[in-house]
Amino acid sequence: MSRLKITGLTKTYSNGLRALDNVSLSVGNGMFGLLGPNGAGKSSLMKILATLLLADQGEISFDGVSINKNPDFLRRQLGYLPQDFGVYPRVSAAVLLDHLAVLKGVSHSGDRKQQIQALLQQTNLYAHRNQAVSTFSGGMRQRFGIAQALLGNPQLLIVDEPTAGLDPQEKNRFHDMLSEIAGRIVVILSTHIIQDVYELCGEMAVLMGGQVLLGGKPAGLIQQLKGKVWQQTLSQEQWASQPAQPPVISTRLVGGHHLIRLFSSGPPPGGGQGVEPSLEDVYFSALAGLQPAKHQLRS
Amino acid sequence: MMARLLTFELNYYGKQRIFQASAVLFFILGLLMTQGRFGGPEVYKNGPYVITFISGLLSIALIFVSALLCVNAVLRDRTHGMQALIFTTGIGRPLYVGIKLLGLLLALSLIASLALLGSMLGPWVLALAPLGRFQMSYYGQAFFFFSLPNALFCGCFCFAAAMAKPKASTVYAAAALLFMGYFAASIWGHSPLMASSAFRPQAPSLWAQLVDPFGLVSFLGETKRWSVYQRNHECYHLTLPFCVNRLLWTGISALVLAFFYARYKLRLPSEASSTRRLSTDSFGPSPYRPVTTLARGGRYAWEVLVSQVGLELRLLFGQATYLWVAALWVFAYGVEIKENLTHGPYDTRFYVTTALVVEQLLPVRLALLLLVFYASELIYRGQHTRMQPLLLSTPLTRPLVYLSKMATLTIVIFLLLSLHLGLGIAAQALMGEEKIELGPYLALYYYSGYPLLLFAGLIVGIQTLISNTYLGMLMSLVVMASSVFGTTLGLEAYWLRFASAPEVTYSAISGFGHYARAHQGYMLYWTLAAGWLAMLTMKLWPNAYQQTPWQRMKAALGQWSTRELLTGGGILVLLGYTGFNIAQKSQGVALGANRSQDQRWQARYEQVYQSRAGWPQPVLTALTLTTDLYPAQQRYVVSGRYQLRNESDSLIRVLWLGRDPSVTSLRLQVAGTLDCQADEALGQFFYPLKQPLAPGQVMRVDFTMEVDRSGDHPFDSENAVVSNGSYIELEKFIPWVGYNERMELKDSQLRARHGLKPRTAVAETDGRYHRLTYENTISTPAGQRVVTVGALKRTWQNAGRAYFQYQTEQPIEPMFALSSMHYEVRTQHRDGITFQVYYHPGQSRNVPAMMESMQKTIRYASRQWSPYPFKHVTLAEIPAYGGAATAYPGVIFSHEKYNFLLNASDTSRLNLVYATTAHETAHQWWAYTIRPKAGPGEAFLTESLAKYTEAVIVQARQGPLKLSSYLKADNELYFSQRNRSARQELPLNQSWQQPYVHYQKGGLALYALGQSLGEAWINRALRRLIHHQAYPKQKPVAQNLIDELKGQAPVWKQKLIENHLEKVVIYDNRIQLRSLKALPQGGYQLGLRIGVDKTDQTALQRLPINDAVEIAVWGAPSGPAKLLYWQTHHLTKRQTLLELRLDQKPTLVQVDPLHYLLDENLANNTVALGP
Repeated sequence: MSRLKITGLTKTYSNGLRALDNVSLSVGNGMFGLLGPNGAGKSSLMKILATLLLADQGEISFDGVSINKNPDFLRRQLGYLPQDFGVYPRVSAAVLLDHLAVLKGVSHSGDRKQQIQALLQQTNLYAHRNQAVSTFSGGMRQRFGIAQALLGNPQLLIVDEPTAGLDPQEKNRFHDMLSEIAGRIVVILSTHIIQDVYELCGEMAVLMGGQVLLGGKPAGLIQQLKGKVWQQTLSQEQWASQPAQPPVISTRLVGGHHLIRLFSSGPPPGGGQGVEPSLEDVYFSALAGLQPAKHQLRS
Repeated sequence: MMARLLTFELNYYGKQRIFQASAVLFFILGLLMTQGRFGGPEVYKNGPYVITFISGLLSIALIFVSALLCVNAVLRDRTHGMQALIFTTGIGRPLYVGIKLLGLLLALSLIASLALLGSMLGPWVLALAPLGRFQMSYYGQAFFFFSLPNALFCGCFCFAAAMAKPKASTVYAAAALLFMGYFAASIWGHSPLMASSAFRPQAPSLWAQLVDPFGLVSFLGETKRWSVYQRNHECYHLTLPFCVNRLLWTGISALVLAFFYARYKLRLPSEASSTRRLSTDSFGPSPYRPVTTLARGGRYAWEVLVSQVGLELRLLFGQATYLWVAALWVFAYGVEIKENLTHGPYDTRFYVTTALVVEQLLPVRLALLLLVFYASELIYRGQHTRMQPLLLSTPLTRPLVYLSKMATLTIVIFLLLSLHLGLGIAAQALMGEEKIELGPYLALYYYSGYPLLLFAGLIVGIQTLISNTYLGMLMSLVVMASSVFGTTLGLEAYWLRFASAPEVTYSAISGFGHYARAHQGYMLYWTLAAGWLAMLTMKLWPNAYQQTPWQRMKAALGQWSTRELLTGGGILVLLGYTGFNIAQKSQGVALGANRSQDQRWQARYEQVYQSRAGWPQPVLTALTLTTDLYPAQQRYVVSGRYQLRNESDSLIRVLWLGRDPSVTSLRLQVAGTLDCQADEALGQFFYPLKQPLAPGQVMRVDFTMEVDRSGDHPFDSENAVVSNGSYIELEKFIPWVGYNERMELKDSQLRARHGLKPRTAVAETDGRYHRLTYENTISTPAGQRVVTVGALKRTWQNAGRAYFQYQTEQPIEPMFALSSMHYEVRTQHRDGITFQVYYHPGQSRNVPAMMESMQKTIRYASRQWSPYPFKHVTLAEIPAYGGAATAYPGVIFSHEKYNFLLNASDTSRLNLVYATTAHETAHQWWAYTIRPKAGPGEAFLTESLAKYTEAVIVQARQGPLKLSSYLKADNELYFSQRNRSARQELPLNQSWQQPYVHYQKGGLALYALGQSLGEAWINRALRRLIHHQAYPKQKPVAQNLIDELKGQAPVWKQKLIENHLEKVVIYDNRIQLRSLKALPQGGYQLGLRIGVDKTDQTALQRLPINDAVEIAVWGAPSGPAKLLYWQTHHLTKRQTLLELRLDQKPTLVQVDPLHYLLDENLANNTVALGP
C-alpha cells in the first residue's frame, strides 16, 4: 500500500534550471532507491520531500495528507539525512542528539535517553558520545547524521547518499539497520551506488533531467533485459579501429581491454557474448534511452 | 600577480552589500554630523576643530565596520568552505595574508575618506553657518592623523583577531574590546564626550592619552581650553603625547599583526579529536526502536525552549571571547564608577552610596553593541553552521524558534545586568561602604534591562528581515544609534525613537524620580510595539519555503489567521491608544526643554509682547498663598491673593498678568476690572481697570492654579513634584505681572533661527527695592515636612495631611521656593539665631560641617558687614537635581549629591561642603541684603561676593594652602570656559551671561584684591556698600562697590582694582631658578628670576607691572614639605631678580603659590629644585 504519493511534481529554479519535470511516484513501506546521474534532480526531490523546498507544481501526500498544505504533518514523522549538513561547534554528540530529539517531539526523557544510547551504539559512536560533533571525522559525522535521522519515530526516512564516506564495515552496519526498520516505514534512499539499491531496495526509480526514466522492482527491471545484453571485449587497437556499434549500454576499460555492453534483441553485428543483465545495465540502458517506456511505479 | 589578486580583492569588496552600505552610510554621517554643535555655536562648521572632531568620532564607528568587513571578506574562504581550494593553490602565506589585509585596509580607508568628503560637503549642502574659509589642509590633517591611522588600526586589530581565531565571534569580540577600551580611556581621561567631565578642566593624564587607541582623549583634552578663534583657525597641535599615542597604537597593531601572523598557517582548522579521551563506560546492547513523539502543545513548546536556550547558553559560555568581553565590561564600568565617584569637581570625592553607584550604572548603552553582535550570531547560527536542513525538517515552528532566540537574549541580558549590578555592589563593598541597599540595584533590571530587551526584539526583527548578516548588523547599529541619539537628528518625540523614554535618574531621596511613572507608560507603549514587531518577526522568520525577504514578506502578508489578525489588530489599537494618551498628556510648552514647540512658543511670546515691556504695572507687595502638594499624583494647587501697588509715577489703566506655560489651569479674579482680554495660547491676560490705579494705590488679585508636574512633562528641577523630594521655586510659577524676560529664548543661534535679535544687557531703570510680605500655608501628605521662606508659625495635621504655615517677619525680596519630603532635622541655637538642617534620614554625615559653616559665615558677616536680618537660617536638602545649592531669604536649598553625599572626611582636602554652605549663606547679604540693579555687573554683587566670602570662610578654617587647590581649580575652570565662549569677555563690573566671569574670575579677583589691599579693606568697603545701598535705599550697581573699594587707596592699588574689576586682565607669571648655593656658614643662597606679565584683553595691550605678588619657597629635608619663605612682593617690572637666604635647602619655589592670579599656564609658576 502506497503511503507517499508524488504527483506531477515540477520545480524550476530562479536561474531557469528545471530540476523536476512532472515527476510522479507512489511509494509504500520499504526501501525505495532513487538513482540518477549528477544534476538529475534527486537532491531537489529529496529537499521537496523533506519539506525544505517548495515545488512549483504538483502534489505530495503522505498517508493521505497533503504535504504542501500541511508540511508539519510530515515533519512530525520525518527522518532526514541530507547529503551535506553542518553542526553547532563545541556541542557533543549526545547533547546534540538530545536537542534534536526534543525538537522532534521525543518528550519522554527516558525514551529519549534510551533511544539516543541505542542509536549511538548502532552507529558505533557510543564511545565518542561526549566529543563535539564538529571534531568528528567525515565518516563519524555521517554516522551522526544517520543517528539523528532515526530519532523519534520516523515514518518517512529520507537519506541522501547515506553511506558516502563510510568504511565497508560501517556501511554494512547501516544497511542492516535500514533493512531492519524499512519494513515498517518508507525509506527513500538516494544514491549513486547501484549495488546498494540492488541489495536493499524493493522499489527503485531512475531520474534524469528532472524526469523519471524508469521505475519498478530492481529484479523485475533486470528480468526485462534478459537476453538483450551482450558483451564485447576489444583490444586497444580494435577499439581504436573499430569502435563498437551502437546501441552501447556501457563501456569499461579492464586490464587494457575495453569491455563493451551492448543492448540488442539478437547477437550484435560486431559479435559478442550474451551475458546476464545487471541493475547497472538497467540503469545505463535507461540513461542511454534504450528502455522502451517509463514504468509507473506502484507498491 | 599581486596586482591581479588585489584587483580581485577590491572587486570582491565592491560587490559586497555591507561595503556599499557602509560607504554610503559614512558619507551621509559625515554630511549630517556637520549639523552638530561641536565646540560651541560660534565654531566654524568647516573649521579645523569641527573637521577633526567629526573624523575622530566617525573613526570610532569604524571599529564596527571594520569587524563586519573583516568577517564578510577576510573570513570568506572559511565561511564558504573555500579554504581547501585556496590553500592548495600554492599561494604563499605572505601573499595570501598581505592581499587580504591590504584589501581590508584600503576598503576602510575609502570609507573613512567618504566620511570626510561628506563632512566637506555637509556645510554647503545643508547651508550651515558659521563657515570659515575652505582649507584643504584641515581635512588633510584630520585624515592623516585621525581617520587614516584609526582606520588602519581598527582594520589591523580585527584582522589580527581573525588570524588568531578565524571566527566571526572572535572578530566581534575584538571590536567590542576596542570600543570598551576607548570608553574606559575616555572616562579616565575626562573626555568632554563623557557627561561627567564638565568640572574637570585639567588636561587628561599622560596615561589616559596613551591608552586611548583613537587619539581622541589627547585631541579633546588639548583643545578643551582652546578659544573659539583657535578652534576656527588652528589645526590641532601635534603634541608629544599625541604623537606617541599614534606611534604606540600603530606599533601595537603592527606587533599584534606580526604576532598572529607568525602563528598563522595556511591550513584547515585543526579540529581533530585525537586528543580527546574516549568515553569508556559500557552500556548494554540496546536495540534501536522508535519512540512515541508528540511535537505539539505546551509541553513540547516548553521542552524545546529549555533545550534550545540551554544549548545557546552552552555555546555562549563555551567561547572565551565572550568571557573577555565580560571582563572588559567590568573594567570599563569599574573605571567609570571609580573615576566619577573619586574625582569630583574641585578634587572632591563622594561617598560610594548605593544611590550614586546606581546613578552611574543606569545607562547601559554599551550593551546595545554587544546585543547586535550576539543577536547576529544567535539568529544566523543555523545558517552559518549549516545545520538548517536538520532543523528545518523538524516540526519546530517559527514562533518557537523566535521565542527560543528571544528567551536566550533575555537570559543574556539578565546575566549582563547581574554582572553590571554585581560590579556596583562589589565597588561599594571594596570602597568601604557599609550600607548597601539591594532594592535600587534590583530596579536596574527594569530601568536598564527592560529597554535592552525591547531593543533585542528590534535587533532580531531587523536581522530577520535582512537576510544579509552584515547588512543586518549594520542596519541594527544605525537604527539603534538613531534611537539613542535621535534628538540630534531632529527626532525629539520619544514615541518616534524605539524603546526610548525620558531618561530616569536615581536619587536616594526621590528614587527614580520625576519620570518613574511616565517611564512605565512609555515602556508599555514600546512593549506593545515590540509585541507587534514580534508577531511580524515570527511571520517573517525564514523557514524552509521562504528564505528571501521578499518571499517572506509576501508570505507574511498572506498568512494571517483570524486569531492572528485579531491579536495583531488588538495590539495596534492598544499601541495607538497608548501613544495617543502619551501624546495627549505630554502636550504643552515647557520652558528649557528646548523642543521646537517650546522654542516657537518662547519666540512668539517675545515677538508679541517684548515691545510692551515698558508698560507701567503695579508691583507685588503682599502675597498670601495656600499650597497643596500631591506628590503621589505629581501635582500641586496654589490659591492666593496678591496685593499690588502702583509704585510708578503713572496711572495704570490695564493690569497685565501672565501665566507660566507649565501651569495646567489658572483662574484669576481681579476686582474692579472690565472684561479680560486673554491670549490663551501665550497665557497673557489683560484686565482694563474700571478706575485707573493711581501711583501709591493698591489693588487685589485672587487666583487659583493647578500644575501637573507628572513625568509626562519634561522635568524641571525648579518645578519638581515627586513622591519624596518635591522642590518648587514658586515665585517663577505663580502668575506674574507685566512682561517676563524669563520666557525669552537665550541661545543666540536659536534666537537667530526664530528671527529674534541678539539679547543685550539692559540696565534696570528702577533702582528701588520692591519687597513683599509672604505667607504660605502648605499642605503635604503626613510624614513629609515642608520648608519655605519665612518663619514657621504653626503646623498641624488633618485628614492624613500635614499643614505648615510660614510667614515672613519682614519684607523680603520676591523669592520663595519650597521643598517637601521626609526630613530629619538638626537644630542649634547660636547668637540668638536658630540654625536648622533638614536632611534625608541617613544622610547626616556632612550636617556638622554645614552647621558650622552657616554659623561661622553668619558670625563673620554679621561682625564685618551687617547683622544677619533673620532669626533663623534653615538649610534644607533636596534631591540631586543638578547644581549645588540655591539660597533664598533665610533658607538654603542644598542639593543631595554635592552636599550630603560628598565625602569630606579627608581633612587633607578642601571641604567643598563647608565652602558651598558658606557661599550660599553669604547670599543672605549678597542677594538679600544687597540686591543689585538688574543688568550688567549684577552678578558681581551677588555671585562674585559670595565666592569671595566662601574663600575667606574656608581659609579661616582650613588655611590658605588648602584653599590654593580650590583657587587653582577656579583658575583652570575660568580659562576652559572662557575659551569655549566665542563672545568677547566682559569685565567683572559689566559681567552678563558669562558665569565664568562672575563666578570663577569674580572670586579670584576679589581674593587677589583681599591679598593686596587686606581683608579689612575689603570688609570696610562692603560694610559701606551695605550702609549706603541696602533696603530701603537704592539698589547698587557694580561701580558702587568699586568706588567703595578704591576709596582712599593709593594710586597703584586703585589701578590694581581697576585691572581686576573693570578690565579683562590676564597674567603670565613665571619663576626660574638662577642659582642655588650652599653657604659656608650654613644655609643657602637662592637666586630666582620672577617673571610677571599682564595683558589687557579688551585693548590687547601689555600693561605695566605694579602688582603685589606672592613668592613661596618650600623645603623638604625629609618628610612633608616645609614652608621656608612666603612673602608678598610689590613688583614693578616684568622681570625681577630675587636673592633669598634660607636656613634650609629649598626644594620647590613658587610664584603666586595660591593661584589666584588669572594665569593660563600655571605649570611654569612652580619649579621643583630636587631633593
